[in-house]
Amino acid sequence: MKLLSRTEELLLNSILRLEENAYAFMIREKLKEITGKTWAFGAIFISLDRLEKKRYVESFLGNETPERGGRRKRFYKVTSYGLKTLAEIRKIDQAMWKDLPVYLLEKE
Amino acid sequence: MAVWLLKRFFPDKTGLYTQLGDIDEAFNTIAKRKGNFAAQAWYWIMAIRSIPYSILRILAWSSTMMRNYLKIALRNMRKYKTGSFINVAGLSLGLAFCVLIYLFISDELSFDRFHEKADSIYSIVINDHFYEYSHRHGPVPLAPVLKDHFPEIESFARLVREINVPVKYNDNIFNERICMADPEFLEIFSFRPKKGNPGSALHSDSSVVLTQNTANKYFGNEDPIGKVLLFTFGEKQKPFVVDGIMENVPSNSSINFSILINIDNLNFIYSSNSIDDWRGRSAQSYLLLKKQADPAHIENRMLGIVKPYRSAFYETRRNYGSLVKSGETITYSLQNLKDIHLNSSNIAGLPRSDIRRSYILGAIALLILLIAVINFINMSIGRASLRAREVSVRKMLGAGRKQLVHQFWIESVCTALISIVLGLCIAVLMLPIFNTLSIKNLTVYSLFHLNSIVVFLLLIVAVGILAGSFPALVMANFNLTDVLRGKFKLRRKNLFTKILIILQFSISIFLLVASIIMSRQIRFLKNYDLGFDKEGILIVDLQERHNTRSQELFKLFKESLQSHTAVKSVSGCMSSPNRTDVYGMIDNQGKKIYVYENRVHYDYLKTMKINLIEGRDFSSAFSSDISSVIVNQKLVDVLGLEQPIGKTIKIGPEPPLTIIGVVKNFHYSSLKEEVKPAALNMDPTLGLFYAVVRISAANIGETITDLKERWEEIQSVRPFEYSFLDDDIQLFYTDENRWNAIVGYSSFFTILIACMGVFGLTLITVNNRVKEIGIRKILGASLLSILKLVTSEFVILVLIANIIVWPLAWAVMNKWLQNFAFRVDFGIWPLLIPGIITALIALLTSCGYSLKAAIANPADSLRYE
Repeated sequence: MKLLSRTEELLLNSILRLEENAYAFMIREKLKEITGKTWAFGAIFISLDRLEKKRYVESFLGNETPERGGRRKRFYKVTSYGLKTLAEIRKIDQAMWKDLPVYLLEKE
Repeated sequence: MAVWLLKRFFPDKTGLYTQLGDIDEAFNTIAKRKGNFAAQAWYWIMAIRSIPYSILRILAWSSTMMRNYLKIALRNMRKYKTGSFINVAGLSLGLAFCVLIYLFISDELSFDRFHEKADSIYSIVINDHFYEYSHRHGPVPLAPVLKDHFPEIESFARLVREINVPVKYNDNIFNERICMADPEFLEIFSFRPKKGNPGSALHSDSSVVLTQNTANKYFGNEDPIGKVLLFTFGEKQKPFVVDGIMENVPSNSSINFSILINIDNLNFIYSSNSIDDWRGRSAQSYLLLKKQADPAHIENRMLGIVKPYRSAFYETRRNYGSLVKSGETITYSLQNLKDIHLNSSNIAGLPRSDIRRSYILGAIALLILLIAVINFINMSIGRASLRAREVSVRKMLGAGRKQLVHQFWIESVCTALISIVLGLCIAVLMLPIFNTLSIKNLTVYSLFHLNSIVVFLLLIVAVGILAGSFPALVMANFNLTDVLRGKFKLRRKNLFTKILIILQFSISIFLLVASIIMSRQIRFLKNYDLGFDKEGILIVDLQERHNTRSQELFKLFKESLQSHTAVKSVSGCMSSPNRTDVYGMIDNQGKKIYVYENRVHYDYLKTMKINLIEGRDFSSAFSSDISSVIVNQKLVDVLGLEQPIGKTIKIGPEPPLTIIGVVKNFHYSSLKEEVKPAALNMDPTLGLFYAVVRISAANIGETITDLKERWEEIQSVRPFEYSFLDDDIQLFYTDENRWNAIVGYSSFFTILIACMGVFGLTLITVNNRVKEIGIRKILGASLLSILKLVTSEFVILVLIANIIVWPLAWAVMNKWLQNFAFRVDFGIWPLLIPGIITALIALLTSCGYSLKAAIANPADSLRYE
């Protein structure tokens, strides 16, 4: 099993959350919501490409809409392989945090 | 704009720009939330932030390919050694020429730019409408008067030259050309001080400022400051204390000096108030204008200001005749310091150059480079078949047209890079020859100037792209399947290659024709009968301009030579070819006739071997000879005299002279000009400048040493200065000689490079046709017919080039010959000879290698299949 990078994890997470409406612009908004930071488009595009290449997500084209200057949307959907990986990550995450005493984090 | 940038840098393979859509959506959201401006700003910041990374990415990818291209280029160079050698050798010669001529031109353009205030320094030009010429030597009081009237003039500096001043320190005597200058001279111009205090030294009228070289000449390694030099002006002498040393005047300075003293010394050398003399034409005046001053404003009002002063002065000296007449026609204009060097074709007074010189040299350099580039192109096209496979494989693997073109560019730039390194070496080696040809003092250091390096890099890229483009286009058009199936055949040298070869040879033949005609004309000038015998005549400069003293000195010198066996005859004169010219004017019923006037001594005709047509020479038997004159045939013709002997002529304001003899026309000026009316007179009360000595041809060196000893016996202040008359006359044609050499060298190199090209092409043709030749031999072709097969093509091309060039060369060279009043009739040979020579050379070069192929055993060439 491969470990995902944090960015990839966040992206997959937000694509999942967005369900049917996962395209770059909305993903960016969602990421802002989760992390509280504004992400650069470049970072999102490149990571999305990479995720697609590694087959965690797949993409399909949507319809043209006027507010996008007549350009089409590219929607993303997490593949079953992606879902499986995410689930594993979640398990690891939980395992990782479960027993960690809170005072260790507050020490400094 | 920003959209374009993003499109450019984020190529989206689907072509749908979905990513841009996302960005547009974000743009609209921001616009809604924070306003349009903020959104646009954001967009721009994003676009601009994307640039560095994108560039980096492009570089990263292309550098990978670049490495591959370079590797292939080097492998190819190693593989085809002869071809690469021809390319590199040709290009490096061409580039060497370009480098040298670039140095020449940049030196020409840099003239006088080193003065910090060059923009506001103006030289006063004197336009004489009586004698119809312009010069820079104006009256001494001119500049001060202008300064008083124009507040825009910040300061002025005058420069008065005095030649032939013997300067003495211990035993060192040299004849010097000294400059008298205003103290402001060193403030206005940015000549660099070296030692002592040159700036303040000029304020004192008994101090002298020397340049480094002059100081070394007198004092060697001693410290020159505080030393005393003794100057001799005529019969006066004055000591000067060395108070300052300047760096040597840069070679790209129009104004030159070696010894500077204060201008007030004029009053010491001449009469007490010569500094206020309006007659003199001796001072170069330079004005430093204030920043915002308008030179045109001063120029327009100058004459009005000066006129009253000038007239007031002339009023007191009405008896100066023609000098006043010409003086009153004079107008003044200003010329910026930076224009002096290249823009003074009709203004005498300072060494000047002609911008056309730079153009012609530049054109020659580019032509040579062009020939080398053509070699490169032809060889690449010729070799195309050998590389066809490589190119096809590249194409098959997805190389686009653009990438192929890039590859060939890189290969040619590579060659150009190697060539320029070699070219620079060649340029450094040729620099001494080039310096003598161009009378420049260019040094190796200027090659490594930042500007030069930038120019060289541009040159490399230009040559590379020019040379690489044609082959690249040819190869990019290959039909892929044909080549890989082995069907590809190089069409025989195509039309394009042929035209290029014709062009190459046209250029070489043109230069060859030009250099042959030039040297013929020069030989013609050299052998032309000048009307006197110029061989074996020594001109000794008496260096004494005072009337009676010079006559006395001459007599002493003549007597001292009387007993010398090698001296055949001695006379004296006031002007001699290429030294001084004096013209007088005869008013022939209202028509001005300018007459070359020479004051001579007894035996002048005999010494110079000028033939009398009628009448007699001057003779001591006639005391009336002081008012006699000997004229040349031309003057008689111009005046239309039928019985010249006994007639009188009146030259200028002088009293009339009686003609006692007529001589054959003689040419005392360059043969570019028609022979001039001339008059010789003899007046023992007026000055002689030169002694003319005819010596026997044997032991010339010894004779000169003897003469020198005798010269030193009769006086002690002046060094012995002499020249041979035929050398003086050759000096008229220095420019022509120089151009002849330059054209000669370039024609040699163009032919060399063109022939290397022919050799390279033969190599390729023969290699491509090895089998054909083998089969022909088997079928019984003779050696000669095989040679003819390969070489006839080149010879035909060369002949075509000849035919193209002939009318052109004929027209251009006739135009050049128009410069001369006496022209060689060059006939047809100078056109034919280069044609035959080039055709022969082309034949021989191409024969050389084809012979090898023709002799080879056909079994060898046919075996391997």
